[in-house]
Amino acid sequence: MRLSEYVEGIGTGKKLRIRCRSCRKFLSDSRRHWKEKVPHKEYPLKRAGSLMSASTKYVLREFYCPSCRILLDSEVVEPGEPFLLDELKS
Amino acid sequence: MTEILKGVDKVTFEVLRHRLWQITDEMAIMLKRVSGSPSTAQVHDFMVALYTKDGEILSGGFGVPWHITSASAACKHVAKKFASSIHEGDTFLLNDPYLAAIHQSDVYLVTPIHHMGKLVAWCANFVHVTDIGAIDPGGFSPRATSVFHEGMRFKGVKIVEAGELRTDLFDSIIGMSREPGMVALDLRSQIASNNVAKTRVADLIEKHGWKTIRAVMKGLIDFTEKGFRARLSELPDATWRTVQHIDILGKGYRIPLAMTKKGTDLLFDFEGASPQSPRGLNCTYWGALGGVMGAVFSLLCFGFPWNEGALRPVTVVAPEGSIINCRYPSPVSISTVAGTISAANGAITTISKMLGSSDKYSHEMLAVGNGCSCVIRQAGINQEGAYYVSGLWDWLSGSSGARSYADGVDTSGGQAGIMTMMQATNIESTESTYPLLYMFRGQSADSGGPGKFRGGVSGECCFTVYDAPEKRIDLIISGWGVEAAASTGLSGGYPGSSARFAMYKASEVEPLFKKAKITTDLVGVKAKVEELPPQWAGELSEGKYMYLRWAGGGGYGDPLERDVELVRADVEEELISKDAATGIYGVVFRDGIPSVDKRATLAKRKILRSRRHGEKIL
Repeated sequence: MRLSEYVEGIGTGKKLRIRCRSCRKFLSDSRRHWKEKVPHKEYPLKRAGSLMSASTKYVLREFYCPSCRILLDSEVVEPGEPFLLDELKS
Repeated sequence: MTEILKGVDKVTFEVLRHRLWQITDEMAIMLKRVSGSPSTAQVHDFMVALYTKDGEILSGGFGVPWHITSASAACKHVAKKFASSIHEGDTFLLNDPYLAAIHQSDVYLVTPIHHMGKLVAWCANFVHVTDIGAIDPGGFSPRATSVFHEGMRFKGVKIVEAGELRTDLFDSIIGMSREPGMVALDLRSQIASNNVAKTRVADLIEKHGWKTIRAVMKGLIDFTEKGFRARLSELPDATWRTVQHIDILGKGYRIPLAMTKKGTDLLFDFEGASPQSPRGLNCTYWGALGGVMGAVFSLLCFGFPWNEGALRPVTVVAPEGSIINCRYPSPVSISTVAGTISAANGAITTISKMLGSSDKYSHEMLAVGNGCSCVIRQAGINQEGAYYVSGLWDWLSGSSGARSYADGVDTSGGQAGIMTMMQATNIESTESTYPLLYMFRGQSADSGGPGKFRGGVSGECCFTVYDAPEKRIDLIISGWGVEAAASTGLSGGYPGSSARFAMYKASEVEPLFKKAKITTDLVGVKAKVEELPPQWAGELSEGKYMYLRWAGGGGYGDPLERDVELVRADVEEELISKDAATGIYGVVFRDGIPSVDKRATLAKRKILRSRRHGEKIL
């Protein structure tokens, strides 16, 4: 089941497993959100382009597939702010 | 013929539902043609709609969709307040944001529609009037600390009684504005617009009979609700989250949104939103509801009439005392372009994430575009020697967010999804009307958020005073998005560019003019540059040049997945820089464009990917 451009779920309930749609690498299971299992990094907003704010109050947070290194998701947040975790209910 | 409703066949139903929508279209045309104010006639800062006798949304028409729900609240309030004194030929005016409106500048006119002496429906519209008599000219008031500083506020008054304009009230209202002429034009256009709706609905009842029209009205709302719920049932149950950040004068405001879809219901919960601001960035509940519903209408109700049926599956929770649901008498004059637009941005993102979890609907996703407003108001003595107030709407040249299958639309106008029909004024029109001279206005390379599909590029402009008798005018800025990035991306797509306000003090530009040379980008011009905060009131005088760049659209997907040919074309068309092409997209060019070095590009992208290791949390 598609969850986003690069993330999909296999199975349901406790048997749900999340994997990368690009390389099929399993990212997590139902016990842990996939964002908490994959590499992530926070960058200055300027990473998104030269016209982006130079402020350090906000960062661009990126999440990568540990296998193919595709950019699974990004967030504009305050440094260290909790991840934006989407939760599948069915 | 198959009956779709009791006594109404399918063809009649289709004809009448389109006819009702067409009536709202005619209301919009009337607003534009009767009003001469740039905001209404050129920018389209208005909304038109029809409502049931109970004030439920019947047909949301052309305009800023977040006002559809507010005007519904206005109809309901007037119906209750005036209960026994609503007569044929009356029209009511209301602009209280604590009752229904979003800020005082947006004035609602609601008119009852009668049949055989009985109230059967309402028509309503709003326009953003040129000046509402607030502490700052133009209605967006960065200096206001209370709703009492933000201009006249009406809880519902009868502006037209039994078909006669109440000139005592009308004159008093326009007399409280700095721009009585423009406000008079706007109010008269609103009355004309509702008169058209009233006449057309009456004609429709005359032709088809009240029983049929009543059945269609009810059927339409049920039709939308049924269709919308069926669409929701095709999407998974889940909670999707996002956060918007408004940055003003060194203080940040956080507006998180969790949207939960369960069965055929949607809950939008702003729990955790920052406490209300002492400035007018806040919105009341109506602003939060409208912002959310603007996105719901556009992104989820395509193909259905926009009416109460779209509202029934939706609940909006906004914590009282927060920036997204402030307490009386907090200031709200900037709400449409701060609290409300943030609610809309959040709703666009969470709805798009939901659509992105469906193979069937993922092509309907839309990243946020032109996410922060860059409102500028101007006031002073014009070329004719008269005092004037007006806006500058360059930022409404806009940028739209990327889609899951295509780039965002460059300088698309307004904001895709919620203000699509709004647009910037023509520069020649602005220069001929106001004491201003534009140095340039154009698209801004690298403003579109990078991604597999790029956000639409935004624009920039620069202007100075010209032929101003006092050699100066006042400028009032009510924006945000300078520090944070409002146009967030989707599925890894980067955000669109930040906004920028700056004042250039340059003595060498005018001599260039005298030599018939112009600067089109200020690059290389010796100037003292003052970066301006997004909430600012000051003056623009001769020798100074106001620079504005508005936000680009958010991107979609991994920038390293972008088709190399699209990157090359972007560089060729000056939509992105060569530096961005290589640094962000990993595309390497041979000497001279447009030749892409494919081998070097593969190697560059491999290097960029190899740096994506981050910190693994186990």
